[in-house]
Amino acid sequence: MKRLFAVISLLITLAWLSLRALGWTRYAAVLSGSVPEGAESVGDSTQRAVLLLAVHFAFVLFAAPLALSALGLHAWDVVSRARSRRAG
Amino acid sequence: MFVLALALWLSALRLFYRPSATELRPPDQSVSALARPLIERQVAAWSASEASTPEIHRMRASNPEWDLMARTYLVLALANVALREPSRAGEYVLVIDRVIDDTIALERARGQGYFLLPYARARAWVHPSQRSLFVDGEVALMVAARRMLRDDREDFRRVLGERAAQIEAQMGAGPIASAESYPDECWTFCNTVALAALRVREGLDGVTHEALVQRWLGYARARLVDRSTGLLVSSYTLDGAVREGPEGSSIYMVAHDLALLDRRFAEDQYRRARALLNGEILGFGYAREWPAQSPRGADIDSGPTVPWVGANAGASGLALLGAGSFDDVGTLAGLVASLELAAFPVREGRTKRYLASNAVGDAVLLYSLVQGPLWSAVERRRAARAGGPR
Repeated sequence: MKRLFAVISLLITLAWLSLRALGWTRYAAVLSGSVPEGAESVGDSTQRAVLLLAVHFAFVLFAAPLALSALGLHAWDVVSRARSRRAG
Repeated sequence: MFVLALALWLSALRLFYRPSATELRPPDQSVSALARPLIERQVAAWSASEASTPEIHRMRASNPEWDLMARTYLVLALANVALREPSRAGEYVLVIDRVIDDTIALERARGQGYFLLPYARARAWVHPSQRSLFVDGEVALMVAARRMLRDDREDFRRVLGERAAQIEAQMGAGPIASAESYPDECWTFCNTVALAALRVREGLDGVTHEALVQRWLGYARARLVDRSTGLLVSSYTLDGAVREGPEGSSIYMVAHDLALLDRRFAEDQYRRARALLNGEILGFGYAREWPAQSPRGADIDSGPTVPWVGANAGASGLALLGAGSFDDVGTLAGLVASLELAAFPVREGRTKRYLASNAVGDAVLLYSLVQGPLWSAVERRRAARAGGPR
């Protein structure tokens, strides 16, 4: 489970960094009803804006708790293993 | 484990984004650190050789009204900043003059239609002047605000006198004390902006527009208040038929203007709007465009709405102004937190902008953060005039 949490957190973070590096943050202009830089119209950019927002909120809301969960589970495993070694 | 981590994270998220009361409203009445980079950006943009930037053109492609509104909010914001920072007032007055001169030149060259949606040409105006109160009111308010700082330009005195006469003639002509912004469309937003401009002029020129103000307020209380919400409706015809009910993208500015016309009415409208339209999740504020009692579809004024929650960009932007106007620091903090979280802030040297915003959004935000001194100065000047000749 900890690997799953870590991988999802990493994927979300990579997706977020990639969109920023690609300059997709300009599509956020759709939120104000304005045409984004380099776009023809608001309508043409809506799908990209929705994807940007989905990735942004996934990053802000879930990346950190997923990483923390992975770390917590890993720490729990380490402690459990140490305890069982001591008990054995 | 994940549920626990998520709960902890979400409950702590506001700490990263929500400003404190003193960050929003410094105790010494100076300009806040939040407002400073926004001011620097606006000053830099209007000090550049080309006043009309590609950003303005992209915004105009969606709605040319926003171009004029961005100018008005910027002038009002800078007037407040100049009153907070008298040592830099000269610099701000130069920018204000550039904005006003450019606006009047564009209106003269291209007509009022330059700042109106294309449907303004689709039918005939009812009033023979064929003028838009939206344009006249916003120009009058810009010029009046500028004159509150320095009354050293004869052309501005003339412009304000002409616009005030036009507003008086147009609003005073009909039985409902209102004027058209578009053919046979009266907007509460525009009528209160125009009346606020007249109010500012009273303190400047020692004239009175009280009769028109009271006529409009009387009509508004009697016929423009929506029965189910107690909020003022957004638009109506010259016959007084309501076209559109209360809207978030309108009511907060209306309440802000009403503060100059009737403080108790203004506070009542803001309180009702906040109760019916504002929301907050985990310390992040937002506003809905329509009250739950009267939901409608999106329109050009409101911008996009987030499904389920109902958070609306236009309403949330203007809610900042409402909160700033009525010293509702808690609500303001929540709305600013949402901007920091979801509006993609970008620092560029000494300036800052929000990628999810546009010129009018930036100007409204700045105006909300520096709110107060201009309206107070107008009240003081009117009070000082009250003892003198009218």
